[in-house]
Amino acid sequence: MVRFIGRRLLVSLPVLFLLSLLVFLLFKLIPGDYLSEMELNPSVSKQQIDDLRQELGLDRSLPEQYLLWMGNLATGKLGYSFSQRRPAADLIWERLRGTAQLALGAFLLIGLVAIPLGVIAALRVGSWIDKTILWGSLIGLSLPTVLAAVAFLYLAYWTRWVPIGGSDSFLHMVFPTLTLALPAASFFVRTTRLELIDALNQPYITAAAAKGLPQYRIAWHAFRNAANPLISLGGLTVGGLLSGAVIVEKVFSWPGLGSLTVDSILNRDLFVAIDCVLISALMVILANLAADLLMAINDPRVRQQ
Amino acid sequence: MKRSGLLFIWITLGMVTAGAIFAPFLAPYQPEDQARDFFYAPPTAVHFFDEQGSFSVRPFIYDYARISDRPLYRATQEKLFLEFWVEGAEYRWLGATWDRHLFGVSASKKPVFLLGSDSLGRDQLSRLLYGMRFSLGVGLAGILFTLLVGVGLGSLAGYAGGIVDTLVMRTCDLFLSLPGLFLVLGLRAVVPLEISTATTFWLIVLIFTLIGWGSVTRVIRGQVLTLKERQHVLAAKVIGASDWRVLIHHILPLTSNYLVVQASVLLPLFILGEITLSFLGVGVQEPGVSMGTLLNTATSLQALAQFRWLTAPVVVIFLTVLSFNLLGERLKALDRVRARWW
Repeated sequence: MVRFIGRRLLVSLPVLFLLSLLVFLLFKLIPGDYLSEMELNPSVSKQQIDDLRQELGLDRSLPEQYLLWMGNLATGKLGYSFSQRRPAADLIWERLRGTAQLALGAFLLIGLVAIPLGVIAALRVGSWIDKTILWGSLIGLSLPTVLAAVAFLYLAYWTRWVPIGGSDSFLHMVFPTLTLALPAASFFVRTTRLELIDALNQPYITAAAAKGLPQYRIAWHAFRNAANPLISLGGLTVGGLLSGAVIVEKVFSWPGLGSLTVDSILNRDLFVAIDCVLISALMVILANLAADLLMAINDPRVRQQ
Repeated sequence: MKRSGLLFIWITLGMVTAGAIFAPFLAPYQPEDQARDFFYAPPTAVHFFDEQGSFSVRPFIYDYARISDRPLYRATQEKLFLEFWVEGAEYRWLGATWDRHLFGVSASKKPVFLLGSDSLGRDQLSRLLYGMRFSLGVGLAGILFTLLVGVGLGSLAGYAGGIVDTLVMRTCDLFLSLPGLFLVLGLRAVVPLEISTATTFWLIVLIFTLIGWGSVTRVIRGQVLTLKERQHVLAAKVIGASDWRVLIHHILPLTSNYLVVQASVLLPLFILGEITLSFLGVGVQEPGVSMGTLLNTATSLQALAQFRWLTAPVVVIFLTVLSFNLLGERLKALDRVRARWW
């Protein structure tokens, strides 16, 4: 078990390294740097620019700059933000919390609402409940996130049910989380339903029913077997949630990693951008690892492999 | 799914596709044409009966004029008859230059806005048609390249194996471990800010391909790995068929089911993706037109509070994506039971 986790993490190290190099080179491919815009300002002298460039380490050679970031990585500071003049680590931890809150909220919605809805639909295939759930999830899947976000924003504005903008209280979280979760949750409803229907048609279910097991135990049997594809889907969902978070954070002005990433890339805040991309990639990798572990816990057949 | 569902899918998709293909002909104006005097004009009502109740076979609109500095319009009694196959702005279509449009009012200088006009007096129907054309085009081209790259690299990795396999699959992992949107932003940062709509088109296609190729490659590789052990493939090899022939004639045709399903799953995702890009300001930019820019206008405060007709594209986008999703569901279900879908 520990060896398995260790090996997976080791394998992902080169991927992360290549990724950081890729982002770094992409940044350096574009002419100019963080200070280029300031150079156009007539009230800032050439001397000031040169001093700043030296201070930020932007005057060094490319390999040196990269090694500078690597060294900073080792000390846990993750480099520094050019625009905010402080260690990138502080900034990122702050923002990471915001995104993590949204993502966890979305997963809670998936676990507590989407999957039960899918189960209900599968247990009542063809009934009006099933049809309503199917259509509802299809609509959720077809709404552009931008549109859903704006719709929720106006709903909040008109009804004044919850405060909007910022992240001061739990109530601020409601609509951003709903928006973020909507497409993923809709997909989960549909997948749960399909997988469970598949499982319910297996011979072991007929056997369990013939033995006279109560309905809820039969459903549980089927669900355990249908769960693995759902777990692996959960791992894959993290990447989608991180992408979706960019829009949600922009629309609801929620302080999170997504908007930080966009801003740092557009402002050419080199180190912060690399860190953001790396952290997101790391989250995707960890989520997939967690999914694999959960599958092994759920299914003895997976454990043997 | 019942017949009615299918009918809904085909009608919506048929209309959308026809609209996209024939956009220059169906649209009465060019998407950038501005009628500055008629900004925020509400949809023009088309009549068959006049106020006395007498019927006219040829539909007509009432002439109208702006009555103040603000976008307030009043209709007059004068009838302007709609003309069909009317001469208008020139456009290129199928390699030739045309100047005919489906309908228009050529008698007066008054524009006819079936879906109203926006802040610059641009006809929303024309913009919607051209926007659909752009978004569908981007989606289809994106799918074409995604599948081409995915099938190419996937079959290469699966069939060749060894070091090639490792190399391709590790690159795949690299791309799959990256949230798609970050890839987009990184790429966008490299490209100059002001680019033409045509360049944007290919940039977005490139972005879609970069995001999508990984998962397709992975699945195709897996399928090729099992398919190349099949009896008929071994038989072909024994006869002396070249690797190329085995791959093209005996292995890849068997992946077509997956490819068709994957295409139908990716198309709505790509349409939504283009909307996201335009929202973040890295996709199509004004005066260019796409579903994304239309949605941006539709979700603005003015549109929602005052000029409700500007929200019309929302309905079109939603119905389009919904139909593609329904089609994808249907194809997936058919693939599960291994039936032919055509």
